[in-house]
Amino acid sequence: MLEIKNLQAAVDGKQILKGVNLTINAGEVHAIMGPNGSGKSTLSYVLSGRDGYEITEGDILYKGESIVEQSPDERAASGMFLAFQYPLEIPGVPTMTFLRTALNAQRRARGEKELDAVKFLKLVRGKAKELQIKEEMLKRPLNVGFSGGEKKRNEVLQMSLFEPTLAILDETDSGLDIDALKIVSDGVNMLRSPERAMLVITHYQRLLDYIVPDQVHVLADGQIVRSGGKELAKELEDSGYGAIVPNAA
Amino acid sequence: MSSLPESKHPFVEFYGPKVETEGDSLIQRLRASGLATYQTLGLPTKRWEEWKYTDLTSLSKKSFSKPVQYSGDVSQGPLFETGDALTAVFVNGFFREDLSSISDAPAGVAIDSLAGMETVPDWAEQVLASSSAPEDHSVLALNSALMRDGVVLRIGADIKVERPIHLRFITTATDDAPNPSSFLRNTVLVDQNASVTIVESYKGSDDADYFTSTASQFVVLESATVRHIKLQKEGVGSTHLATQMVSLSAKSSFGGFYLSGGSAVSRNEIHGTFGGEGAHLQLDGVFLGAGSQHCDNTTFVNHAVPSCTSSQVFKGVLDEQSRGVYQGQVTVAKDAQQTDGRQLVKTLLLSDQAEIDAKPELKIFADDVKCAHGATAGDIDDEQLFYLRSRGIDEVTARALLVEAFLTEVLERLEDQKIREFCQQQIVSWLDAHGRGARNVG
Ligand SMILES: Nc1ncnc2c1ncn2[C@@H]1O[C@H](COP(=O)(O)OP(=O)(O)O)[C@@H](O)[C@H]1O
Ligand SMILES: [Mg+2]
Repeated sequence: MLEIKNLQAAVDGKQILKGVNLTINAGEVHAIMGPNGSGKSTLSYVLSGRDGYEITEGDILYKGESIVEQSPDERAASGMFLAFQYPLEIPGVPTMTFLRTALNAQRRARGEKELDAVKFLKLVRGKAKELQIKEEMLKRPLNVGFSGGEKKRNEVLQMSLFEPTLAILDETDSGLDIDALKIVSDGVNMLRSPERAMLVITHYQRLLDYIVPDQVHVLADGQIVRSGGKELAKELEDSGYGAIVPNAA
Repeated sequence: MSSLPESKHPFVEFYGPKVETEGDSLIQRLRASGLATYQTLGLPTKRWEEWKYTDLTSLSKKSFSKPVQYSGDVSQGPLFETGDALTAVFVNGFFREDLSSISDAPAGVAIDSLAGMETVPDWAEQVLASSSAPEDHSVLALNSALMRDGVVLRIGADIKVERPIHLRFITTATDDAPNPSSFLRNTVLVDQNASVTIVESYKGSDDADYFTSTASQFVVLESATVRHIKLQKEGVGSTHLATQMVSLSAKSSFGGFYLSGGSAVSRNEIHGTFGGEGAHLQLDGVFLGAGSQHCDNTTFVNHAVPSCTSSQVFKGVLDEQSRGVYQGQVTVAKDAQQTDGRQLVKTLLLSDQAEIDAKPELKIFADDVKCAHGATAGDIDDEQLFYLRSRGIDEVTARALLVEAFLTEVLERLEDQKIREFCQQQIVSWLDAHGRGARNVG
């Protein structure tokens, strides 16, 4: 599903990713852990094609094809999704308008029929209910006045609407209390399927009790320094990054 | 009014045979003193503080056609489908009864064309004489000197006019006037406790190098309410100079909304004065620029009496090499305690060559007031753009969505849903033509 080969990337001329290698097969969930500033969010942006994140070396293959020349919207239409660590507030764009524009843009790009207003509303209402998102929230401008937890839930709502084949979740757990964490994890777990793959970025082991990964990788200073099974997360929790990552807090 | 002194100033040669009432009427005197003032001052230059950012020197190099009545077909479609509106149509500066629908004005609404009136009523002369703009205003003086036609409108006391009154000003190039010039003067008196919505729209040929001078005077009496919407979508080669004057009596309210998207060079200047306590003035605007357009919004709000509120939000979207200006001066007199005066101007610059000169200004001589002003300018937010694109929205659509979102704050201040939707639609069509991701789109 996703093959990251010796990926090196720079932002503002500063080298952040220094040779990341990672393969995720369909049906798998991989976790990336690592200290702050190790390049986790940068990796998620590079995978999504954000401007200004320059790939200096290496390649990203998605469904067997290089995507490095694709725009973020092309990647989204072909099934990639990034749940942002810090979802953006966009005053003036109602959440509903945004969701519908995005969903229909993806469908159009894939040659599918757009959803009419009635079908769309029904779909969103159903998903929102599962995630315990109040309808009132969807009437507000996108993420404006949302609490940290509400923003994260809104990310998961988008994910369940778009039904991506590759979902990247960047610290979706941060800012969530334990109840919200369960709701969000349930939402993510519902999407788990043999056709989908997920990359779950987290700073804490806690999330991985709910979303159990097939593999765990430790990113430090722009490189994966260790990989292992889900027990690696536990080990990190007990010993801290210091034991694995030199100079880590 | 026969022989004229030689003048180096443009347009003076158009002064001449009156169109309206003969004799020593107040209008004639206004025209004469307008001419005298204009002869002395000439057109503004950039050395004048208030005209620092807008250069009219190119006007003297052009040769405009003298205002002439035109009774032929007008190809310009309606700028605003007002449906049930009372519509007064002016073509090349003159009223066109055949295109208008003012004859069925409801009781309490008196609407006429200035040029068509045998005698201008006293009240209209008084409104004309009661300008809230300064005396040494050369652009207004030029308008006074050459004013030919316009609407003369009075809303009687306690009358709540349901239908909007739409004043449509259309310019079209003709054989007689390839580069038409128009000098329009609108006179509006809204009596006590009356309420009305007045739409002024301006549209014209894209292929003519024409000139529109327009001035509108609003006298709003006690507890009356006026909603004023001005839509300026003049032809791309034109020059549009508008002066709006608003006098507010106690407890009255005037809400203006100014959408400017046309003309090569345009200026919309508003003078608002409070004459009684408890009145409210709201002035909002959207200006859209592309190519080498220059769009100026200048406001003067004079809190001469206590306990009045004024609020302004102007938002600009400038693309390519266009240039925007916002100058806003709020003056609070020494006695005008409990004034609340706010102004905000925000500009979205869609290209590196686009420029805005924003100068909100407060002159406060009272001590117990609430006043605030702010100005921001910036590009589309890259992070927001990426967020939208990461959801599958292409760059062009994402940019348009962000531009519309940027303008939402000011559009939401328009109460009338029909007019708000109309303005939104104008903006969307402008975006289609210009602003939509003009850059970086393959
Ligand atoms: N726009 C930028 N310009 C320069 N350095 C940046 C920029 N964005 C992030 N960085 C740096 O890149 C490194 C990795 O950041 P990030 O990917 O956000 O880490 P993480 O998500 O693992 O906490 C940090 O040292 C950060 O300071
Ligand atoms: Mg991060």
